[in-house]
Amino acid sequence: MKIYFKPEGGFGYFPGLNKPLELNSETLPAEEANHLRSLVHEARFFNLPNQSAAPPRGADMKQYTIKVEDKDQEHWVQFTDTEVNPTLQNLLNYLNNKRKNGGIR
Amino acid sequence: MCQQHQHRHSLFCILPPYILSSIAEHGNVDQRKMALKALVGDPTFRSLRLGPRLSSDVNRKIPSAFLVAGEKQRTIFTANYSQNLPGTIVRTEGSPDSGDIAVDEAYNYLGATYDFFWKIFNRNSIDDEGMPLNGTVHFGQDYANAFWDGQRMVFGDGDNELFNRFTISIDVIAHELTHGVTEDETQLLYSSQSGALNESISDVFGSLVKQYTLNQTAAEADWLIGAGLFTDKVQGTNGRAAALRSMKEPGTAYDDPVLGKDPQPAHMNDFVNTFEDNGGVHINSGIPNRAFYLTAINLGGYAWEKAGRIWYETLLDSRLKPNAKFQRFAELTVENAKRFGGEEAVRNAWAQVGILPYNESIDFSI
Repeated sequence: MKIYFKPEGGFGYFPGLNKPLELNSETLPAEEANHLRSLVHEARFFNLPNQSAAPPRGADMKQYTIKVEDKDQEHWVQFTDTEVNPTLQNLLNYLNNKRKNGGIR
Repeated sequence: MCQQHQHRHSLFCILPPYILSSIAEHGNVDQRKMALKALVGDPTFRSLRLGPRLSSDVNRKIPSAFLVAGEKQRTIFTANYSQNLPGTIVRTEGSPDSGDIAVDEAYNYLGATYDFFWKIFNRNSIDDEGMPLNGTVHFGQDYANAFWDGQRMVFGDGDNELFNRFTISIDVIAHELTHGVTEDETQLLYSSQSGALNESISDVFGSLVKQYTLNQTAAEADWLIGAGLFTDKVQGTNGRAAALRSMKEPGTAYDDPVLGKDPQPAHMNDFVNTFEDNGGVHINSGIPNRAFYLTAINLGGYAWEKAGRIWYETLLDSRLKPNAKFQRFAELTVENAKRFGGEEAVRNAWAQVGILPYNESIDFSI
C-alpha cells in the first residue's frame, strides 16, 4: 500500500511546510504497516467521496489531500479542518504525526 | 438564514417578507424585534442595500432605535484537543478569568476587536447586527493554525516547536474576526486576487486593532502580523524576531531553514502565480498590505482614523464585487478617499506597489 499525503493552506503560506509525505507500507515495520492498513480500512477510504461537501464559507482552514494505492485500487480524498468523520480524522492524525516525526514539517 | 441563526424563532424562517414587514410595523415590541431580525437576513431586504453607499454611517441595516448595540456577547468553547466543533463552553460573557490562558486571551482579544469596530466604525459585531462572538480554543493536537469557519473563530495550541498558541497575538484573533466581517459585506472569493484581498483586509484590520490597543501611530507601529506567534527557534530577518507577515516590508517576516523564506511580494512586478494556497491568497496579499501601510504613512497620525476609514468604506462599497482584483479595489479606495481628503495619498501608495488606479472623475467621453 502506498500513501501520498499533502496538507495545504492555513493562516499563512510557509514554503518549507508544504512538502508532501509519501509512505510505502512495505518499508514500514510490520506492526505499523498493519496499523496503517487498519486505519485505511476503518475509514472506508475507497468508498469516500473525493471531496467532502466544501464549506461554503470560512477562511484560513487547512486542506488535506490523501491518495492511497493498494493492489489494483487507487483513490484520493480532499477535505478541510472541519471534517467530522472520526475514522478519517484518525488517519489524518497518524499522517500528521508521521510527517512531524519524519522531519517533514 | 434559518440554519445560520439557530436561535431565531422558526416562525420567522417561513413567513414571507411582506408579512414580516407588517409584523415589524404593527407587532408588539418583541414581535417587532424578531421580525426585524428576520428581515435583515432576508436576501430581498438585503438587496435594498445594493445602491451606492455614501457612508457606513447611513443606510444601516436596522433602525438604530431597535439596536442594543455596543454590548458584546462572547462565548469561548474548548475542543479539548479534538477537532469537534464547537466544543464545550468554558467562558461566557461577563464571567471572570478562567485561568486557562488560551481561553482568556480569546475572550479578551475578541472583546478588544469588537470594541474597535464599534468605537471606530460604529459597527455592531461581525454582521453589524450584534452577532454573538464564538471562539473555540484547544482545537486539535499540536494544531498550528487558526481559522474562521463561517460561524466561529477556531484556534490551535501550536506545536510548541515552531508555533506558540494562536491566541497569543491580538492581531491574529482580529484577523479571523475580520474574515467574518468581509464575508458579511462582500463575500470576496477565497481564491487568487480576490482571495488575496480578503486576506489583506483581515491583516489590515488585525493590525489596526493591535495599533489601537497599543495607542500607536502609523509611524510607531511595527506593522507585523503574528509577532510572538513563532517560538524562538524560528529565525527572523534583520536582527528581528520572526513574525508571520510584514505589511511594511512584505517578504522579510522570516527566513528560516525549516519554514523557508517569507514568500510575500511587495510589488506587482513580483506577483506570484501559483495553484498553491488557493492561488496565493496568503502570498500576494503582501501587495495590498503594503499599499495600506504606505497610505497610512502618507496620511500620518493614527492609521485607523483615515486610512482605516477609507479601507472600511471600500469594504462596504456595493461596487466591490466578490471577484474583485487589486486594480478594482485600488480604484474604489481612491474613490472612497475623496471624502476624507486622502485621494492623492492613496493613489501614491498604490502606485508604489505597481498599481495605477485610473481617475474615475475624468470624463473620457469628451
